[in-house]
Amino acid sequence: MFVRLPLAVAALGSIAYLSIFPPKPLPALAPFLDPVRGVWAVARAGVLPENASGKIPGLAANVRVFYDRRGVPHIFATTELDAYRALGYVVARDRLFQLELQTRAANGTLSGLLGPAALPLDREVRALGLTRAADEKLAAVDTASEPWHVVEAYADGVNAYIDGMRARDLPLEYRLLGARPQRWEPINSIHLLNQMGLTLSYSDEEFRRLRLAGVVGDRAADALLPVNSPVQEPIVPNGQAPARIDSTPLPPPGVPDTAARALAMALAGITRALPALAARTTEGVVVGSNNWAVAPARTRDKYALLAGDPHLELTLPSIWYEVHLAVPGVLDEYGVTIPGAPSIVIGFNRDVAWTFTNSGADVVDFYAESVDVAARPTRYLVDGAWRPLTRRVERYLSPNGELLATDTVLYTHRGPMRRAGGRWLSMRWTVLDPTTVLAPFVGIAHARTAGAWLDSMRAYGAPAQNMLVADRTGTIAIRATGEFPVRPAGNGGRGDIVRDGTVSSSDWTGVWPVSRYPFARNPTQGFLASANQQPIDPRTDSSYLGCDWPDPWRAMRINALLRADSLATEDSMRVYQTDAGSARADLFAPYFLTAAVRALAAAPHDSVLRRSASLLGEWDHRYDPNNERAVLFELAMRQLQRRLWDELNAPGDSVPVVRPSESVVAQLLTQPTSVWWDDHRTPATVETRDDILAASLRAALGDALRKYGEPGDGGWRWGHVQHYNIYHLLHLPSLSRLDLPVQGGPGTLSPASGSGVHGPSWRMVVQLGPDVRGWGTLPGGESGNPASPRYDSQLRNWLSGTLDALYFPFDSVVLSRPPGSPSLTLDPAGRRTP
Amino acid sequence: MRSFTTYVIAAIAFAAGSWLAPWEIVPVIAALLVLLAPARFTPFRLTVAAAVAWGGIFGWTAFRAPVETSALARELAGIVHAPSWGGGGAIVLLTPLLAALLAWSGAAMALSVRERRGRRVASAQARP
Repeated sequence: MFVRLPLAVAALGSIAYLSIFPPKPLPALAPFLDPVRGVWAVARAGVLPENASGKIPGLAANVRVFYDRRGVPHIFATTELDAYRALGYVVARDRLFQLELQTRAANGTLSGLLGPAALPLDREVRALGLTRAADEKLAAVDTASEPWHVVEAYADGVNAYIDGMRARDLPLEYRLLGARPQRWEPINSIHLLNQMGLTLSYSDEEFRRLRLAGVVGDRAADALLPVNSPVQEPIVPNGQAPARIDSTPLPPPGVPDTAARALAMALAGITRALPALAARTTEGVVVGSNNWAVAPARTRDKYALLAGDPHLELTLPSIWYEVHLAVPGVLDEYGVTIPGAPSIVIGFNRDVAWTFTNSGADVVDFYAESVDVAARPTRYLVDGAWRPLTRRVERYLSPNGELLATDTVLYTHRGPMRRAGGRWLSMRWTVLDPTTVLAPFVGIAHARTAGAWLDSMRAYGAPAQNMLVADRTGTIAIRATGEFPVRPAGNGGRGDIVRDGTVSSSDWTGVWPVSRYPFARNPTQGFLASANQQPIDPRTDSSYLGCDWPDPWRAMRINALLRADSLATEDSMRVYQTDAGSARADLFAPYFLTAAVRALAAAPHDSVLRRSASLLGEWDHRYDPNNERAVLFELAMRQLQRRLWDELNAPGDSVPVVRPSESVVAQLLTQPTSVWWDDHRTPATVETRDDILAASLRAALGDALRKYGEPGDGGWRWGHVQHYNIYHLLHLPSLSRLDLPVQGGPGTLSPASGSGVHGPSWRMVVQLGPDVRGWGTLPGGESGNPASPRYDSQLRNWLSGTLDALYFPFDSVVLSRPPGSPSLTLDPAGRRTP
Repeated sequence: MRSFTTYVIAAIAFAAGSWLAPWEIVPVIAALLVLLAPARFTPFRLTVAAAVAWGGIFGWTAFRAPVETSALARELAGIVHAPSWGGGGAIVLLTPLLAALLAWSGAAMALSVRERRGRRVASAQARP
């Protein structure tokens, strides 16, 4: 009896302590396990009720939302603003945590949610000037404009959901973090678009070029990071097929540029804190996409077809949210939005369909600045006069509001300025400019023709995109759209060099007029396609738009498939989206085999090479999950890159400072005796192309046997070697879907490489017939609740390359829904039920 | 029969209380019941009743949930680094166990207070 009281006090005290001060990473004990409000409530919230209601102050009239059998909300409103209010509400209902996490990632306040571990990411984002840019864009907004009313309406919807949310509706992630959702501010939509700009258009070609020049000199660096892709398969059709490969001899390695090397070393690691950028450099991941459209004359049903699949980081929940917005007589639009964006980004209405790929244009420049005091500058020099630097103090707070750190970010008239290794560099970037991004998306929803759609997009700023559109009249068109800087004429107007910041003549002088944008409409070939490749053949327009373009392997493949298909159907579009064939393999594999034949003629007893060549010769150049030869080719390509670019290794290092693109390797294949083929690690021998290819193939077999065992034992299966890994936003393994089988490999239309965390984030096919029909799928589902069947309900179809028919009813009356399917009524003063 | 009724009443009290208020209500209800009727609501009975109440709510949740609760339990076990045995069973078991511990703590503290007060009253009455 005497121990009972102390024991009880100790037990209750311990529970209370673990509930108030949980040891990280564990959640608060009792609130977590509370069966009503705790984590188990997540399971109850996983199912949407048949008849729910909610309140959104400011609605003009009731809004009905019906969820179809795929869990996609169809919003029926009487005014456009009501539709966007409801959009904010339903997105928050399904993706509240994602909304906040994305916003915090974009405005550099992640550490306020996740703690000090996120501080480096926050500092990087703010040092890039993204938060200041958002503030400036907000200040420049015409608050009386219709697009801004849309942004505010969306925010009203999100906040109405947060305000009416009960304890049991709190998403799991907040429970784990012991956090509560923040209210949604209209500026968050600007932050989100800035974040997309960072993901899609930030590049550091200048630094890559400096690193190369520091090892092999300027001339060779220019050739290895070329302004024009050595393999020409441009977006704007150039009438050539197959692709044109540049056979211009590559200049030999030159004298290292010591100044470039010093600057490159000083700048090393300047942007490595950002995972997206780090992944690009360490894995060679290119955030890419595919889109194509076929004119009616080349389709079976004589209606235009459009297909698109943006390749982004794969996450759970998915980056996209599928929705249908309907306002009778005003708006009828279906597609995907990004949580936080108050509009459909990729989709279709009753007349027009559209989709994007990233343009990869160079829209970032760096300037070497001279400052008054290197340690604590207050002024910078331009044209012999000192100008004051603008200072912005950035404060970083922990989840409980404590100050974690303070930074002072300096700005020149060009943009944010950063110190790296004793040098000061400022940056000009179109994403930081107060460009128009949101308004065009509101406008395109109403477009009735491809021409009207393109007109609406004329004002679009950043990130630059290859915008593909098709309409019911049969028009197909593509335009690289976005702000493309006009640079000073010196250095060929290039943007891949660090410019002198002390003269104003280094500054951009404007942006391209829309009439100059790479553009094609109804080409004679009957189809259009883009896959992030260089948009226009330099023989047509040699103006600098970018450099070191992504390899055009996907573009070559889709063009070959479309060229061979004069009766395209929606199903053939679907099949192409997961096509396992490889233009890259078609190009490189024969060179390996030819080199092996020649090497075996000289050394017929080389049994390893003979076996390796025999195995590679059996390959059909496909990356199906059961394919057992693709892995050998991939290992051979890796060996080839390692052996070929030995000249690019920094002294004392075995890794190239920069790895040139495979397009440059393809160019070198046309020069069998180029000095680049010689392996300097074997001074007694001068290797040629075939020597290196044969050696690579031989070594690849050794690698394959060591890593994957004997062929035929299962270890060589492509599905065993390469996987997709779709991580939960917090990278919680149990909420992620990992080691998923892959159909596709590097350079295929459904690409998979590296750690498998990038891939097609939405697949869509649209037929522009009398009644527009769409098909699509996400690598996940609509809900962010892991306990919901809609969390990953589309994943199986996505993996198998199947597309769901997208339900696009004309009105809520004809909406056919299975009995018991969820609905939601939103009204201005309603009582909220789940 | 009386004992069974006691369990039922206590379990309903815990379930209703938990439905209306956060987890802190469990030790409060346990303490109140002990103070009201110590002979009937013993710490043991309240411990069992609280476990049954939270277990019942969990069971109802599992029954209504759109996904297999075992799958969710497995996912949660992974998140909180709970033992993975029984397909996430550890974290499921932890829910009624926590309720039991909360109820027992509240009941035991209330009983101790009541007994001390009783002893003090008795000793005061025993004084001449």
